[in-house]
Amino acid sequence: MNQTTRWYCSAITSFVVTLILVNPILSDAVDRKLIDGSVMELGRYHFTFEAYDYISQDSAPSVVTWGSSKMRESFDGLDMEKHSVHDDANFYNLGYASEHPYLRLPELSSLISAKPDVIVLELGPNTFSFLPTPLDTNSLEKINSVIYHSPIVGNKEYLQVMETEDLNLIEDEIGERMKGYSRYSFPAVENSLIDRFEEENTGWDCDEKLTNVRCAPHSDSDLYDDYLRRPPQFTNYLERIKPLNDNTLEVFYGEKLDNYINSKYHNPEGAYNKNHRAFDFIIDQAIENQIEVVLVALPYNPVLMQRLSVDQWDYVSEAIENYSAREELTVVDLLDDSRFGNDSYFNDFSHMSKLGEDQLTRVLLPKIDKVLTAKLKRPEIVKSYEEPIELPPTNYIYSNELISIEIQNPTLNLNGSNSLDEHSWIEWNQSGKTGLTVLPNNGMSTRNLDDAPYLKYCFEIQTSGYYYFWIESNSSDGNSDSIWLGVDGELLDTGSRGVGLFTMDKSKSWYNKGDDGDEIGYSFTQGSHCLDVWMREDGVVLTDLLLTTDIAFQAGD
Amino acid sequence: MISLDFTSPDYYAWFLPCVIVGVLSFSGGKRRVQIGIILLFSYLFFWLASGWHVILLAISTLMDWTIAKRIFATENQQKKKFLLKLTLAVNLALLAVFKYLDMIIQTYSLVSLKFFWMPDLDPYGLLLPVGISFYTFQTMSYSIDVYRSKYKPYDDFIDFAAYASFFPQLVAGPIVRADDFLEQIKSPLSFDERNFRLAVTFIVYGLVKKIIFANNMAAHVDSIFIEGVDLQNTALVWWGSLCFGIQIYCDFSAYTDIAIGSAIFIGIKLPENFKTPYAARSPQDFWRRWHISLSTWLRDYLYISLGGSRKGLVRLYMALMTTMVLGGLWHGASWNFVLWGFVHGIALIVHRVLSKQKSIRSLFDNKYLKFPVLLTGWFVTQVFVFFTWLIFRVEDWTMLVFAMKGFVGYDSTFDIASGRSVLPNVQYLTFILVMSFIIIHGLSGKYGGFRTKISEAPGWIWGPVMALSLLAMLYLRPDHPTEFIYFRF
Repeated sequence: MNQTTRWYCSAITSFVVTLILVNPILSDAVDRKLIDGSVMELGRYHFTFEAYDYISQDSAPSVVTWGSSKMRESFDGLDMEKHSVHDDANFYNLGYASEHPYLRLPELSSLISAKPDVIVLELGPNTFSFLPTPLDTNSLEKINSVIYHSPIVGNKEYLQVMETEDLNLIEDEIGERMKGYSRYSFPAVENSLIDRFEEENTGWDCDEKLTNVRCAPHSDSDLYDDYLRRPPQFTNYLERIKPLNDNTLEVFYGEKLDNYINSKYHNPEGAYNKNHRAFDFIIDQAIENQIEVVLVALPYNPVLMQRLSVDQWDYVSEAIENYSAREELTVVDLLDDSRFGNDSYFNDFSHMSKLGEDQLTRVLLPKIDKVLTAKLKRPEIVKSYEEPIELPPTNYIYSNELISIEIQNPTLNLNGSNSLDEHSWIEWNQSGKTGLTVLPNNGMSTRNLDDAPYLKYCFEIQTSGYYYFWIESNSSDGNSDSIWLGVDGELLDTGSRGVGLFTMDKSKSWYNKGDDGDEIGYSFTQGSHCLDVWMREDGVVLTDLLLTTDIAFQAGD
Repeated sequence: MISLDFTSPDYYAWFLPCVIVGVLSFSGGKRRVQIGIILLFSYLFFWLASGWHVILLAISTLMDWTIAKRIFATENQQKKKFLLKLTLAVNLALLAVFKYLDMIIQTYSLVSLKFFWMPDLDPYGLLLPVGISFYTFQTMSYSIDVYRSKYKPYDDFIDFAAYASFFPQLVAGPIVRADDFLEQIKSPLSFDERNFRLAVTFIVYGLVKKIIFANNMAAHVDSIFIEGVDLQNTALVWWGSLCFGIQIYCDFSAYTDIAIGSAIFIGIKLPENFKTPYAARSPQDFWRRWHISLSTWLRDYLYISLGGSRKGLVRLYMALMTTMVLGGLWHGASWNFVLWGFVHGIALIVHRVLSKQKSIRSLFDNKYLKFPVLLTGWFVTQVFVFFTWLIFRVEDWTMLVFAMKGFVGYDSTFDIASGRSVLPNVQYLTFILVMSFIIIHGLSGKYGGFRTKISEAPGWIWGPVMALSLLAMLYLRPDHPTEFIYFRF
């Protein structure tokens, strides 16, 4: 071998060896530091591929779930393993936020290669929700990022299921994949450097208990095993807002819930769209590769279910029915299951709380175990599972309540005392309007609730909730226009000068704000309550008083 | 239509391989066929890069070929002069029309604002033909050399046309002298294994400079010198100036490296255009290291023609200043470039005056003071160079004044945190690249350049270097590439 040939042999060999040796180091710097959520929601795209490798290394029976954040928040693999009749079975949760079956397609061959025994697929309104054609930028990013990390050689049959317009945008060719990979690696290297220089963990904020929902540990971390079975969870929002004595819960179950149930993602499109086609493809491919398929229609917050219009999720119901008719599938319909009829099972509208996860384990595990037993051809093991938890159903009625207080008929009318002993609330009548006023109008004002003339109005609250106050007044000037307001004997904090009921604008007669500028409101529980009205300035005139739960209400309209 | 430049995948996927295979293999070793293939591919490259402007190249080529022949053929000195002036006029007219017409009109418009009787003129918005500044200078140098009887004109039109349009250096240099080129193509071109190694090394080196260094610097530069950014922050302006200096060097020298590498594949050697310019210790030294082919062109065809150093000091300074101003103007149709050239001209004159002083020269003779003096010279030169890059980069005059004030610390702040908030998210990587550049540039100057040394290294060193370079290009390139700066000239 002459010198030139030797040179080229050593050059090419060392070139290839360098590529092989350096690549894992660079991958470590790049992959580990890819921003959690920069491509997928909550950093769950890349790890799904490492997850399949991880899963396939263990020859024990395995159950793998796919789904959106609902699945991610519902399925506690660790708990399932603890209670399963199969001591050796592994239960993995690979759900990720904002998932669509269509966008999962590039992972399918890796899932099948991992050879799970059972896959559990989420079946719900978002399974069949709308995805634009061609795909939007966000969805393309997701699908392309998965492709970049997928094996170069693999089953690409899913490409036949995809729309032509999407195929033109999918970066599946090697050159395109490399281009895309470098697009993500560049900021990832920067993040690695930030971590080193600033000692800030911008990517992976994982503690030992995996409490941070953004945490995505690396596959060689001690946390990875637990992470794959029970990913970090969202905080329990409902638990946090329920004790607040303001209108947060009402707004949450009101306007916010209305927006949620009207969003495209949380509703089926109502046609056999690309998501549905992809979903069917996934099922068929799994079956073709002797993987048992369990479809689970996960439950939703009962308040949400009550709010849906009659036929809103009919498409999902029909799909559940159709899939149930297929013998090769196991379908578990928990969509409106009474065992999840209490909102304590939920963190919010759709994600399950810890209690909900426990409940799901109790309800779903027996069915999965049964499928697994059949798949593994093991004799049936008789085991008593924990009974489902029983909680009363939540009956949150959200409606716009309006209570009108008859000003002229107070439950109690007390005259003033001491320095105000000559003052009292008396009938007022002008231009057809009637009400009550405090006379004589001597220009007096008081902060002394014990001495001030007093009115009490008692009434029934049918629906608990946050009520806004609207007060109509015909006070003649700014020195004769204010009152103190209270509920059930407690003064409401409306500012240092109570509630003012006069402006120069003669067209205005309704008032809903205190002296502090805030809307006056109170969170009433169901039952009897009394409104307290004390004179602050004599001469004040009250003609009407309304209480409403409707945040958008404008008195006088 | 495919758009071709040195960072397009198409250039490496099919264009360059076709040239190499065509010239070295399909030509059957016949010289004329080889040159014909080079000519064909050069025009194809130009067509893909600039479309119908290829006609201008053809006009310039044909005209200089014809006129040079006639200059050589005639004995009449006046006729020779006339013919030379004719070719220079046509070439410069091409430049004037396509490059400077709108600048002239805009300047006219500033004047006409003051005088109502002057008619309004609208800019024509002509597209700048790719490489026009380079190939017109190249063909003019040929005509001038023939006029000066430096050599006789090319016998073969194909040879000359290939010289005038040679694709590696057509668009952004280096400017090649006709006799150098002819010398290399008078024998058939053949494959040399060493050339292959050298070529690959040059190209990869150039791509690393462009893709990693230049493009990353560009992201920072583009975020600093824009409307609304506080250019009275000295820290920010220094950083911007440093990044731009690295960007323009890496961008331009990368193009040269790739051009040299591409030419080496087929056995043609192009001249070096840069010699670690940021190691320069004086303005004069800087111009011996920066864009060498242009500065030598200006010296040989402008400075010397204006009298050079042969007609006294005043004439020398005028020649120097004229050369630098026109050299600045060559870079772009903007008064910024004129100012840039002017400032460099001042610096060169000042340097010349100072270096003639006995007191200064004696410092170099003192063995204890020599090094500090050289170091001071280097530092002052580089501060000056990076200061003048502001003029080159910031076209808006108001912004330029702020930037210059910021650079010298006049009426300015020094706020790193505030400066960082303006920059793109990628900062640490860029900082490391800046530090790496400074170290590599310094070492390269000390050891006489790395590219050749790498290509001559044993295979077990060359292989990993190439692998690491390719991996770096894959992992460290920013999302939004920028075009070559000198592509616009």
